[in-house]
Amino acid sequence: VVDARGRPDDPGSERELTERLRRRDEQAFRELVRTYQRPVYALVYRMLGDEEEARDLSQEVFVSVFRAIGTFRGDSKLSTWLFRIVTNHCRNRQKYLGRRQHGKRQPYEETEEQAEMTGGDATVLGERPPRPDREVEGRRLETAIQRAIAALEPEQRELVVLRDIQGLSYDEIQRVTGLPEGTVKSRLHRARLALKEALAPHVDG
Amino acid sequence: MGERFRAYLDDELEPAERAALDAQMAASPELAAEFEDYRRTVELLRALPLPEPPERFAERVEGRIRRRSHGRWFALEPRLRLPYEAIATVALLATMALLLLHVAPPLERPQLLGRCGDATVSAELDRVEAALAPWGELVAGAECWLGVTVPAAQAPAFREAFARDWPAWEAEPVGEPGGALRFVVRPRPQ
Repeated sequence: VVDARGRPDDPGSERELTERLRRRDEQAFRELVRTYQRPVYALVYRMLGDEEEARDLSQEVFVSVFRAIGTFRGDSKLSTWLFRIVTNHCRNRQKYLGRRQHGKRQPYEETEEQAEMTGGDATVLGERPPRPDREVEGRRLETAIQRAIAALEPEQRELVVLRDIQGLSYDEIQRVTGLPEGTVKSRLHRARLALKEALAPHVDG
Repeated sequence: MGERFRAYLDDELEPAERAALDAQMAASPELAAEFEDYRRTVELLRALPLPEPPERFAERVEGRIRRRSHGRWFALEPRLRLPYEAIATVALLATMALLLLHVAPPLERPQLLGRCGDATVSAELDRVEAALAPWGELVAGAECWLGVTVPAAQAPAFREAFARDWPAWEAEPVGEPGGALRFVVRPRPQ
């Protein structure tokens, strides 16, 4: 059972899954990946903003989960522990990419022509409007939002993704990031203000 | 004003505080417009779709795990599983050895540079790095050691689990940056 943002919502089945994973049950591992692949991939993609990096790192996350499942004590939800691994991996990868000056690649620089070409397969925001021109507009907006998210400081980006995109509660975010509640809220607010400025042309009116 | 916008959206304001902010916005079109932009920004973020993972994602992860573990991580099934990875590795090494013997000139024996140059340590380091991922943020690393920052609240559990799972390695605390503990992780001196 998963919630609207793709996160599992059944503590009983989560406990049972954890036990089977500890026994290195191959089928349990497949269930884990099937259940969490979308939220994990989405989280990594929104944090890194690069499909290629997201493909690689989200696989690494599951490798780490499987290696470290024996150390999971069940003090928190499996999904919280999993998201903690994701954020740690993302922080490390961002540092690595920063050292290699990966930022110069500008992964969100999609041109208008590209947006129109990919419009047919595009995921659009909110309701799915039937008109192709609105689909293209939706894709342009998504690209603009992703670019604005990428321009945030990594510690702000992490909180925006966890709270506003992934829909985690403040309590879950504290458990994932290890940050105090006040820091989470004030940092999130500053991130939203920065995004408001960056997205002003899309927000006004 | 700022934090109150966030608290308003998260429904954290007391009724009196909420009413006061409503009154302020009713009296100030600029403030109301500012809040509306803030609310609309958050709405845009919440409406972002969750991208789909690439096709055959689960198979790719499974393949990666089998390669890294040489097929050992999954529990053995009742029937005997052929060690395909081991067979392939032996075949590859045998082919390379034949090629080297017949094509390449004899190589000088590589000089060992202490434990840091030890291939076993390098291979183990990769596994240690993966095991550290759930615990904290890797802050530095070299050929034979890693630095990791662990939230202070989790540090005792980390030390206990690390000592249990990696007896040949040690995690030495070297600093306390902002509510966390920083450890250097390396092989125990022999």
